Amino acid sequence: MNQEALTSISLSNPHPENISLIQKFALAAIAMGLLLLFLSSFGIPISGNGLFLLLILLMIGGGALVYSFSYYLKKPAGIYNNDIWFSAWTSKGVIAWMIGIVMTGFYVILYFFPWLLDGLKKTFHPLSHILTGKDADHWFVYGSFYTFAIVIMGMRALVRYRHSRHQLIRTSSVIFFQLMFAYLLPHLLVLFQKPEFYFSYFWPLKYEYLFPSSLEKIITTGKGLGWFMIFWSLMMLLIATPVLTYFFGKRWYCSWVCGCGGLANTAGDPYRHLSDGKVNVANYWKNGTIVNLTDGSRDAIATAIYVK
Amino acid sequence: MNHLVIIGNGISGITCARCVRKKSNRSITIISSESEFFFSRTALMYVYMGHMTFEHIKPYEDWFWTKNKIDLIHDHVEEVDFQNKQVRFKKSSLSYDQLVIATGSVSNKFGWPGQDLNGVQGLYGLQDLELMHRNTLNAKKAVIVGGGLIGIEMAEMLRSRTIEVTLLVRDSNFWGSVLPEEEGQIINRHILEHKISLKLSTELNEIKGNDAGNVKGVITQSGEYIEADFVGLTVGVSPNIDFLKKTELATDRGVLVNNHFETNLPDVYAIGDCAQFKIPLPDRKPVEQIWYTGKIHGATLAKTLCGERSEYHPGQWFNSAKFLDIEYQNYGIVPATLNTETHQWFYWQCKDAPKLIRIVFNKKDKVVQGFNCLGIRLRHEVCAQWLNEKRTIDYVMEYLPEANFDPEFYKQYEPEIVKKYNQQFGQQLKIRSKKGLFPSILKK
Repeated sequence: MNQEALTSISLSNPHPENISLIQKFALAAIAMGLLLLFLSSFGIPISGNGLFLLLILLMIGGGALVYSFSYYLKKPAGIYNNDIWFSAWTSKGVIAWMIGIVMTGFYVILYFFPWLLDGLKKTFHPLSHILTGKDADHWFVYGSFYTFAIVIMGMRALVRYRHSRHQLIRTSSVIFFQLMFAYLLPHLLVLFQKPEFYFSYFWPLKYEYLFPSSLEKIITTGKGLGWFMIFWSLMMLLIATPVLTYFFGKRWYCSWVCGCGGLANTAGDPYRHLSDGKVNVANYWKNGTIVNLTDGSRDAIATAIYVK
Repeated sequence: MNHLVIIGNGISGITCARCVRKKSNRSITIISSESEFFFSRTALMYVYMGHMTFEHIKPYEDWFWTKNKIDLIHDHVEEVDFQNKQVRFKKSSLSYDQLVIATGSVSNKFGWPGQDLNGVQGLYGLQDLELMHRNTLNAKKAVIVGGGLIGIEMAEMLRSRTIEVTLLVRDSNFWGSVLPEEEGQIINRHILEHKISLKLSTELNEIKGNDAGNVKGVITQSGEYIEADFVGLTVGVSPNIDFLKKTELATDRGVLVNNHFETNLPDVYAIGDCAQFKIPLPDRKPVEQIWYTGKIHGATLAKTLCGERSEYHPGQWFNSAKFLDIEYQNYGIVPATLNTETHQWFYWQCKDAPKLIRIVFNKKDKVVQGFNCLGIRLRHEVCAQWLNEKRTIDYVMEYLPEANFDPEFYKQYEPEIVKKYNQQFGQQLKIRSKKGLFPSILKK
């Protein structure tokens, strides 16, 4: 058989599952939620209203949950990867390409042109006031999106992998650490005028935590709590990380605690099959060289140091 | 003794070539008409279901063969001239010094009326997969004949494209020739749960077609008509050796070999699905159609081809499969029906999940002979070690957690299992070991 005939197999599934009426409503809610979010970025009058933000989050999050729950719950518990290489969403198709551009563009704006997000910041002011007592900056907006993605897509993962107790516990763990230690707690610390500190990030992931200037700042603003934060950093760096990594490998952090691993395992779950298995790519990962070349994700460097 | 030619690029032929290459620099040519490059046959279904692309099921990237100086010929062998040591293609021929026949299998067809209609097919190779894709483009209803491993795979494949499936099974339970009743019943229920219509104790009589020569339905032996625009025939496979039948090479169902994979002709060997042992090893079949045995065949023969004549020692029998969502493992010998004069078995079944463990042992000395498990994973090396050491059922019960290979945090059923064993056999055994990394480190 020639290669052409074979590629025809991967073109499409001629009988995809029908989208149910409930799923159509759920998708409509997501679409309208995204539309409202888009509108709010232009700073429309209603966008400083807490209820407006709540409505947007409910529409997007609720829609995503209803859609995925109704997809997975009508099947017996088990692994379903049907059509992932047929779908334009998940097989580097037209839609995936556009999502890639939008996501990358968002990061470029976030890092280099944050003033473009002024409208979105305003939308998130009500939430920021509750958590930190301050106006939202673009990092608050980003952290909120990030945590929202992990929580919603984490719940999807809980249903998708419900056959596996391991996955249920592990997914709950990444949701918990992101929501509590990488989102709520640091913001609440700011509310109570303590240093914004992430207990789930350690040196060298947060390498600046052990800079003399940050130590000084932590101690002066944190007082007793500040000393505890430094003690915590050192304990995690010198004792917990080496010991846990020795026994469990880097997964204890990447798959259980880390926000980056958390995002990969939840929001990134529909795309996990795209990681390249070619020998030269695998060798880069194995040797730790590419780890330093990736998007500056410092957790990767951190684990690379311990794993090597 | 320079040129080694291997007909067939399946797991047996490829393993043989790789192992020879590790030991020697002789020239190696692999011939296949099925595919240019080696692929994983067991993963074909996932290409159809969109879990993977064909690229993904090639275990080696395309540059691998040039790098290792293994020549590949993508052509069909029409005949072999054993006198002049040549294989003949349609337009050319190739000389060999040593020849390995590793041509695999073809799907069985038992001469049913209508078996050659459009839309009727088996599933073994790449061409079958491509055909199945085309045959099912517009299919709405399918009938699969044969309740075995390929039958249930085909059902899962078709369900992924929302095609209605009816599975005809000759035995009174799924895979009744291999699985004991309780295992079969668990799978029966699971098949129904996946909205596959299951007809047990049902055999095919005839396949009906329309005037255009396309399949339109099947008639069972009880006379029932079932509409279908696709019919899968998955009633086992046979050695693919038709092109060798009228030569001086000794064949029966497969190419006849001894335990060194030597045929009746010098410098000609056969391995994998297409080989048939003249004297099978104890408790093993003359034709072994399993991925891992093909691998061992290839590796064993490679030693012989490199000057170290070696006998086939496959170790303890094992097998594994996945029936839709239920994993199945088998170590040692577990028959579908027990010889109650010599053997006994103990089985435990989970009340609220499709999980089962069955252990077969000798009546006399209680030595364990085999394990079956569904929905629970056992550790291969531990089970094989227990079988090799001829451990008794009592020992196995006491140390059962050592064999537990389920993922972390999975519920452990050993206390329940041992409790049932104690009740059934009037024993007071206690569990003496723990599952996991730390206990096994401490033990060492």
